[in-house]
Amino acid sequence: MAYTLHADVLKFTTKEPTAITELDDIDALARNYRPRLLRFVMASVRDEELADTVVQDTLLKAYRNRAGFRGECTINTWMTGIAVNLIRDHARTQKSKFWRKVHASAVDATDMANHLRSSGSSPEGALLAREQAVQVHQAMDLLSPNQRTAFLLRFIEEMDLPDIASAMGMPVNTVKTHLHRAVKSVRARVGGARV
Amino acid sequence: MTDEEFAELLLKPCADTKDMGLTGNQQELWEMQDALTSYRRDALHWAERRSAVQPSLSDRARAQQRWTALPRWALAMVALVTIAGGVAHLVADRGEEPGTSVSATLPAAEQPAAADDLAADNHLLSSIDAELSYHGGSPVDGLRLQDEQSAEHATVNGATD
Repeated sequence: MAYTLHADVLKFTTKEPTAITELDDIDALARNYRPRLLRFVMASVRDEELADTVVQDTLLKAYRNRAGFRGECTINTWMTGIAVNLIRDHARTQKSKFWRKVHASAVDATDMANHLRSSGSSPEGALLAREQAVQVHQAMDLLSPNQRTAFLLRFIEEMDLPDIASAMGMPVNTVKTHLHRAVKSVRARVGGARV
Repeated sequence: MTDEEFAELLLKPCADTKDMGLTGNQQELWEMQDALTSYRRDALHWAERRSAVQPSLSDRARAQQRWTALPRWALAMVALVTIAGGVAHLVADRGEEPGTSVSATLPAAEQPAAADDLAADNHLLSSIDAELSYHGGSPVDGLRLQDEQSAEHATVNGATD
């Protein structure tokens, strides 16, 4: 009698130990996921110290709750979901309200914005792209928190719609709505600046 | 191109959209794609540079584990002591006779008084019992009603004769 083994079973058995090993080592987690998380969180909150804190809390929370990771999505998606929730929590605090007030009346002069404006020397075409990257960065300022999160996860973190829905804790259709509104707003801002 | 179409095409790789022969807003689309690619790369470069100087998290993770483990151990110990106390009490109760356990709960000074009361009660009950017990004669015998009745009967018979 011949038995056939389903491909998903093989995928599951090979994927699981790697994920567990990676989650058991906090330094490996930080090494592999910190930069991507920091890029996303910084683009969301626009405050370097707050971004550092949120990323640190995300890594510690992921490490502490690693037993709860069931491998239904990638570690990156799981940790992005934790970061999204922590950003929401921070947005509710008085400190974040204060920061939003300060930020609303100030030019974006963060280290990241400066880096986008002047990161090394490059050919003419790349220079134009960099200018537009700064415009995209500024255009995201005008988006609502949900629109900005959906836009960043889709176009900067290049995540799939179901993963974004899972990370944001909302249906795929709601994510699509946020995404289309965000694209419309960014397009108007960046296209308007170009014309 | 509508915003929906623009958003859909924005998700495709640059090379794919350049091969699609788009008309109209294609220049705008490519520029946006280039802008996003540039943003993605430069922002990641910035984040990598900043992450490289961040301190290790292993000490904080260990400290956090210690602090979360301490209340858990304390709660476990309290639960263990409570259960052990309950079990010991239960075992002690089962090991003793019911009568002994009642007397054990009475203060030592009250015990002789209770024994005297018990003896007095027993004496009272036995004397009542003795009084109530039947010795052969009827309680009516004590009144000598029967003798008087037979004397009267003899007098009546003599008179008729």
